[in-house]
Amino acid sequence: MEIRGEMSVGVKRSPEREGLSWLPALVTIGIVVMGLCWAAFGIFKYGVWVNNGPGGGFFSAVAGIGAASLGIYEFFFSPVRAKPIGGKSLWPAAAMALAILCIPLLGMVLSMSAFILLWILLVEKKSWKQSILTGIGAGVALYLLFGLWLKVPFPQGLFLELLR
Amino acid sequence: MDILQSLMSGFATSLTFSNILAALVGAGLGIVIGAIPGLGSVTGVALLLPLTFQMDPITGIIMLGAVYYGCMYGGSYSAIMLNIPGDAPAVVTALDGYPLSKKGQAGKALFTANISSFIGGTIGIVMLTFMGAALAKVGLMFGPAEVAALVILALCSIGWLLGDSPKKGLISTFIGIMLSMIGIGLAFGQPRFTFDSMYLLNGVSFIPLVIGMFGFSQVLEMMVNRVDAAGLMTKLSLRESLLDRSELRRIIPVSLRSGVLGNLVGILPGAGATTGSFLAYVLEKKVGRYGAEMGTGRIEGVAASEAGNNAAAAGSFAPLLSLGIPGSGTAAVLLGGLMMWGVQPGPMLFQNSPDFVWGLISSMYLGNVMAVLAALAIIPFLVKLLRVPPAFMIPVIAVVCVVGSYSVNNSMFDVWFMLGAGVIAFFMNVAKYPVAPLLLAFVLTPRLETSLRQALDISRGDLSIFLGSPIAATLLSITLLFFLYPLIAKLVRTLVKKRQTAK
Amino acid sequence: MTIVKQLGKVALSGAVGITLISGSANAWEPDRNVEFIVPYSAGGGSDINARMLVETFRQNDLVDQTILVNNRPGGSGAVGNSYTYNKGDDNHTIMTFNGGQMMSMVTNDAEVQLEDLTPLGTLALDTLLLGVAADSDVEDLEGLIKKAEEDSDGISIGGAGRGGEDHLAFAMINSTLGTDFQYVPFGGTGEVTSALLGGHIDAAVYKLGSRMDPSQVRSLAALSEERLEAPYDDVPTFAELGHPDIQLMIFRGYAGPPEMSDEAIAYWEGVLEKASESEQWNKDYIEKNNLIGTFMGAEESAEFYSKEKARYSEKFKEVGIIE
Repeated sequence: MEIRGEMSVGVKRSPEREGLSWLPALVTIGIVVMGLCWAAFGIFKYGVWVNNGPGGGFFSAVAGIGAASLGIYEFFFSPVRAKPIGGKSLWPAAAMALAILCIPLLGMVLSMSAFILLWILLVEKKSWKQSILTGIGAGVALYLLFGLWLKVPFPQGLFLELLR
Repeated sequence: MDILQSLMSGFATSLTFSNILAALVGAGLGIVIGAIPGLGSVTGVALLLPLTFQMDPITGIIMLGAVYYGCMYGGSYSAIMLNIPGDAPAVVTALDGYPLSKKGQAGKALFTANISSFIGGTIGIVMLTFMGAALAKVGLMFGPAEVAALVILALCSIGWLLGDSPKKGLISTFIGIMLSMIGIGLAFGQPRFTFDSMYLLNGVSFIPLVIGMFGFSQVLEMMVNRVDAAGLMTKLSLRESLLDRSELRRIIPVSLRSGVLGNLVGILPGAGATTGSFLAYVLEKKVGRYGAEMGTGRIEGVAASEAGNNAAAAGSFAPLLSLGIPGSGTAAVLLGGLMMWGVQPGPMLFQNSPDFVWGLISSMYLGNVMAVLAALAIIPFLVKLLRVPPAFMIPVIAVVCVVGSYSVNNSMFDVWFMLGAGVIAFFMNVAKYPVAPLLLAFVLTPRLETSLRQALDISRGDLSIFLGSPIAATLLSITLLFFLYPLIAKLVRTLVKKRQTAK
Repeated sequence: MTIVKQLGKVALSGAVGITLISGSANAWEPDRNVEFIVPYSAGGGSDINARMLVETFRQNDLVDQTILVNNRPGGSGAVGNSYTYNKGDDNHTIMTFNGGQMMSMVTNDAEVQLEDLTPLGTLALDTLLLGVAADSDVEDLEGLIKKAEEDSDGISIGGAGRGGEDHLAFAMINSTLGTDFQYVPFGGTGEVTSALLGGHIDAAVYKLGSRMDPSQVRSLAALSEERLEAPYDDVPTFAELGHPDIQLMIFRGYAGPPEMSDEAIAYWEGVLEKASESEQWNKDYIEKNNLIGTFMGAEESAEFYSKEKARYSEKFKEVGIIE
């Protein structure tokens, strides 16, 4: 099933052999490894059949074997057609990982507004004014909605702690 | 009629100015809470419960009822607009809702969601009003064996959603099953695949998984496909968002069917709203006229899921009111509220505090109406929100994903998990593995494992418990029939072909 | 209730100790926001307990600073336990601590154990009951044992969760009576009740606090030390039926980080005691949740917890839940 609807639009682009074209193969290998691991633990450690019924490893074993064998089939017999997507799409993940690493230092609200501000400024190349407005606006909204109203205990960050 | 009279007197107590105001405020707050990924009706009701203690009990329960309905309505918004389902049932809504958004029909999808939620919710409440006690008794007939059979049916129906690459869909389903095995299962009590981490002891958290797999992977997708996103922004106007008469005619029968089915599933112990909305969706895909196109952005898909989900939610109140057994997480929180007000739910509730019960039931009607009004009023603003250019949308959605996944358990582990799940889902998406079967299998498998083991513990390993029960046997035969049907049809077709070629 | 009186006496002696400490010159009081850790999700039993306690503090002006409830669910309590443990010597962190949380420490061999936390006090007790559906032909415990011998499928007893309070109570019953009952774990007491009323299981164990309706469920025996109050006053205890070993009281208490200062312990012990005496706490929490009100000070709670913990691990070992 195509939940993202690309197929329905019917736009077929030529598969570009650049960027992440090796990815589908890697994903399939990952699936096979995971399947084998789950199957092995299911069969040898958790038990497939216990007390006349499916044991703790039953579903792991079934799903693991299923995933591994189908994965092997996909790897060898299905043509690998990657969507034309460059490495650029991983930028937000990398940038966000950095921002999350800053949370213990700056706290949740500050890190997240900084992320928005810098992203709009550096990646999207918008003006200083727009970046700062959006960054601060989002920070204030986060603080009001989550911190003040819903009382979600966000990490305060070392920085604020020291200020106090 | 006795019930009508009681209901009318219930309305008489509940329809005061302050109560209507409380319902409206509650519905608005509920929509906001429900629309925020990571926060659902359980959190919403739990958060506002203390606030209502200062109120008159009837006003309090009316407000909570409205919050509950508001959350149910709001939950579909982020699923439709951002492809981030706020809770498990909304995963099904996203299947058609988000493709509609991508086609520039977010407004239609939102209207459909609200109208069918309203219809589903109303069916649920009406059934609760007139047959609540009887339905609750039917629910009791579902023991572990029967629930196991029902979940087997649901789990196998994922097969119908696999579409044009069944192998990849099946692999996704298996991955979902594997992920669901992480943690200490109720059935066996042994820690599995936890890698000695206490954060995995209770299993993978569902909401961070969903936010990552749908939402964050969406952000990554938007980085490259932003042209598509920007193209549709200009087309949106409110008038185009409204449903025309023929579209209304399309979704009403769907909502009615799904509402009844969802309500019945919601009453069953431990089956839940996800099973309700999912089975309603699958039924529609099987019997509906446009079933084959569902999944590519059909309003029927949104209608089936939302009507099923809201009707199931209303259904979970039947066992609460007539037996004192909470049928869902939110009902359990409400039960806490009822006891705080000194109301003891149970078989005697209707006799002991009729004012309160009928006040509560009439408040559900009120809450549902207020929620649909508030929701419809909000849609124009939401549609405008979609016009925000991707340059601003991308970082803001990314932050919403982080904050939403943190807020579920107040845990940084969940944030990292969400990020990882997002990247993996993006990779899977590049390799054309669908994500929805993974999530549905993830929700359904533990239920199956638990019920299966319970049934076998009760029968001491005797498998005949599944065949001895008429309900379980029927459900299993239906599953078998549905699965053999395509095979038989194929066989017949090839035989016919062979004969033709032989001629 | 006799149990309350008894514990009340102990509490009185504890109170003398508190006034002595808090009377000394360097009495501690919170000077910033207090973090109240709940190791379970919002809306659960511990969460309601914490929020009611905060409300009691507020209405009786017991704590000057704001108390923020912080839900840290996960690992059957282990995530919250370890969060509190990592607060080290923070006097502004308290946490709900209950019997189930301690059981999961035992069954999961968790990293943070009872010794790594500072018990502050205990305000409520709960116990368990064994019962059958009201329309069952089983009238008493004897009847259930007899039915187990006659029925080829044996007797299945439902309870909430695996490795928790209900499971432990079941294990005590089954091993002491020498029966071959089968335990069937469910997701919650609600599901247990459904299965019992639907006739899918023969009997169930459930907490007193889950307020099982006597018109639906006939309680056969209680695991309490003494007879319970109405509507369970006609239910015999296991001790009365000749099985004094089958006895389990689950506590709802509070704990702090490992190196909380003695002054802070005394402070929290003091406010907890005042809360336990307040009318609001007893009326809105204890009574409405059908719990047994009590007060145990910090030291007494520590003793009680470690005694119970030893008993838990012994019983769990005995029935093979842990090795």
